[in-house]
Amino acid sequence: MTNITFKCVISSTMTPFLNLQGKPVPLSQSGTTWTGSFTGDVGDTLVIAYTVTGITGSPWTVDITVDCGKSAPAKIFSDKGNIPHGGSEGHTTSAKVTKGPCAATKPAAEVAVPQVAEMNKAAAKKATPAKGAKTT
Amino acid sequence: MRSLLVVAALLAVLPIASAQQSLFQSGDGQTSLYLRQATAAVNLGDSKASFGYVHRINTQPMSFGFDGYATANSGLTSLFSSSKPKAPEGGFDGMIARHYVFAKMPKPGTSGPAREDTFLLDAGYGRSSFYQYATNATPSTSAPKTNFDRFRAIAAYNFFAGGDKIFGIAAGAERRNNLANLSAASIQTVLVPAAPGGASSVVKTQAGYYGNYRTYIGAPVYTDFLYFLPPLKKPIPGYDYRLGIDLLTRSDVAAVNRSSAGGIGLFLLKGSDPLCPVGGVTATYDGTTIVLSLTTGITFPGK
Repeated sequence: MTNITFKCVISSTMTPFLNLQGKPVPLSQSGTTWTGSFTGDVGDTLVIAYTVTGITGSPWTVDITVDCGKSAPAKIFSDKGNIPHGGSEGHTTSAKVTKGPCAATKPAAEVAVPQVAEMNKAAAKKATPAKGAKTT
Repeated sequence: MRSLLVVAALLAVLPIASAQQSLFQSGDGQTSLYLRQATAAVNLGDSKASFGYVHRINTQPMSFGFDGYATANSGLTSLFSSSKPKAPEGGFDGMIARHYVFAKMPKPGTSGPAREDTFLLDAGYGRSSFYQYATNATPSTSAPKTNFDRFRAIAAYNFFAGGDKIFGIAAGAERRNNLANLSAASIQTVLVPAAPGGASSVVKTQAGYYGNYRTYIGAPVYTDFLYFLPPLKKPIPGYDYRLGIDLLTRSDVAAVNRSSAGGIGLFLLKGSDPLCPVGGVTATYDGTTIVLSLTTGITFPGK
């Protein structure tokens, strides 16, 4: 059993909400940036549910990483968009978490941000096709 | 006939009633909208600098914040108004808020019409100093400064809906003065009289207010309805802004100085962060006078 700490950063003009593995992640506000962390043994899949709110047309981002000390953080999940009409957007998806997610990362100076996350995201969406990576 | 149009950026002489540092405010600094607070802000319109901190966790219903502010006695305001001298003021505010009072907190993963509401209590103190010369009193440049202590307590409710509308109402009590109704004045004391046949003399000048100064307890009631116009369908390179329209009322229901004004404001907003105004213009009408006010400044939203 290996606990991993996931760092969560959401950019949203109004209040966002995030669940990892079905548990709410408290996010602390600094301007439009909301940050929090989640620690747990998630196996090889991290289940992610989030809702962002804001002014219609304003940008939002969601980034989940694993801190790798002196190396660049391992990117687990990333998504972004613009707030649609109605002021809210929510998604439920999952991301693949490799064992030892930091093993593949290089020191920050050398890193080209891993495209693994995008692959993870694609894999996650593919893994839950029936319910859809994006729910409305 | 009374002058019907006054162009002013008034914050220096009217109540500084906003505990939040957003530039969403009418020219007198009043607002019922407590939007996201900047870490620091400089309001060029009224030469006001402020800094603050808000502690908020999204999953917790309660949050709190505080800010401090100071106004200078010069600045762009004088370009738009009023030859009235400004009374420098410093102070601080504290705020405690409850979120999702009537609106339901959304479940992560769901979409739909956004609704978010906040009820908050805001209390503050400010102190200003100025010279005032009472009617019929013998003027003197050695007159002591008058200090004014402002206390206030405001309750406010904000409701955000649909991604483009925010409604706010605020009411409370505030200790105020009537500097805005006094005349700007300056006293000149001749230190070195003009020599015989000469035209020049040395004088000491002291700016202040002339009239019957008084303090009173006001009962402000403010309302705002802010509508965010949709972003441009075809972005213009280099233009990352959008507009917001604010319908507002500003009233004092206390018998001692009962007044009411309604108006409209137009704000220029950052496209990437529409809750962060770059500046705005508001016009209010109290039945006899139209007041145009400018709000502009620099905000430091944090990260």
